Amino acid sequence: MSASPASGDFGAGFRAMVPLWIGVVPFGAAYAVTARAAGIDPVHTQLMSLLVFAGGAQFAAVGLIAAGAGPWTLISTTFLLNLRHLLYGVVVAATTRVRGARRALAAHLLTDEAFGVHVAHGRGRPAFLIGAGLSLFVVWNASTLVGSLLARSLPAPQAIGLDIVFPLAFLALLVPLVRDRRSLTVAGIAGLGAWGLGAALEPGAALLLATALAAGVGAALPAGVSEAP
Amino acid sequence: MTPLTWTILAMAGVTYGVRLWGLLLPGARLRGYGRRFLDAVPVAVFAALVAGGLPGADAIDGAWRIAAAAVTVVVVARTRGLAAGLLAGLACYLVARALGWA
Repeated sequence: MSASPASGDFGAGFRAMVPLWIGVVPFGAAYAVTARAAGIDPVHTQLMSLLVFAGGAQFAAVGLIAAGAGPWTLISTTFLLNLRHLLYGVVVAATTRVRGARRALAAHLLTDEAFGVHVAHGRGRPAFLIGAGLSLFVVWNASTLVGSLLARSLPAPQAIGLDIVFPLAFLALLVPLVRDRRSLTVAGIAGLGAWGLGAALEPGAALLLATALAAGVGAALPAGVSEAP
Repeated sequence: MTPLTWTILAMAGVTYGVRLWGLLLPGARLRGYGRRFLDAVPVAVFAALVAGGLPGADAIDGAWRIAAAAVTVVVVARTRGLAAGLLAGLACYLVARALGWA
C-alpha cells in the first residue's frame, strides 16, 4: 500500500528540518541550562518549550526572570519578539491552503525555521509545514529535557562554535530565492537594516522593522529592476 | 497554579495568537503592491536573520564566520542543497576554530 500524498509531504517536511537539528539541539539544551541557572524549575522550563515554543522569546523570558521582571514585562516582550510571526502566517496563507485542525496546529508550529524550509521547499503543501514544524518541536523539547537533566555539565553553543548553524541555515535558504535585482536589493536592505537596528532595538523588533522596510521598498521597485542582471 | 505558570500560559497565548492571526488574514486575495510585499517577505526575513546572527565575537572570529558564509553560498549555488551548504560552511568554521584561527 502506497503512502498518501499528505503523509509523503509530512515526511518530506520532517526530513527537511533534520539538517537544522545540529543547531537546535545545543540551543534547546542551552535554553534549559540558562533557565535552571535563573532558578526556574524543570517543570516550568519544559512547559515554556512545550507551550510557547519560540526560542528567542524563551531566552529573553529567562533573562527577564533572572533580572526580576514582572509578568507584564515578560508577556509584552514575548509579543514584541514574536510579532514577526504574523508576517510568516500571512505569507503561508497566501501560498498554501491551511484550514481547520491543520491551521490550529500550524499556528503552534510556525517558527522561523519551519517558515524557512516551508517557503523554500514546501509551498502549497500544508502537511509539509506541519511535518517541518513538528520535527523542530520534538527536537527542541527533547533537547530542553536533556539540558534540564544535565544543567551543570553542558557547554554553551557559542563556546563550541555551533551558534553559527542558524545564520548559515538561513543563508542556505536565502541563496536560491535571490534570482534578480529586486530580490538582491531586498536582501541587501534587510541585512543592513537588521544589522544597523540590532544595536538599538530588541532582536525581534529589529528583524520586524528591517523586514517590513526591505519588503516595502522591494514591492515599490519598478518592474525593470526585477529583470535578471 | 503558580504565578509563573499563568505567565507562561499568557506568553503561549500571545505567541499562538500572533501566529494564528497571520494564518487567518486573507493574503491570498492581495494584488499589486500588497502581493509584491508578501512575495518579498521571505527574502527579507532570511537576510535579516543572517545579518542578526552572523557577526562574530571579534574581528578575526567575524572574518571566519563570513568565510564560512561564503563557503555556504558557493556550495548552495552549485548544489541547491541546504544540508550540503550548511555542513560545508559549518566545517569551515569549526576547522578554523580547532586550529586556533577563529
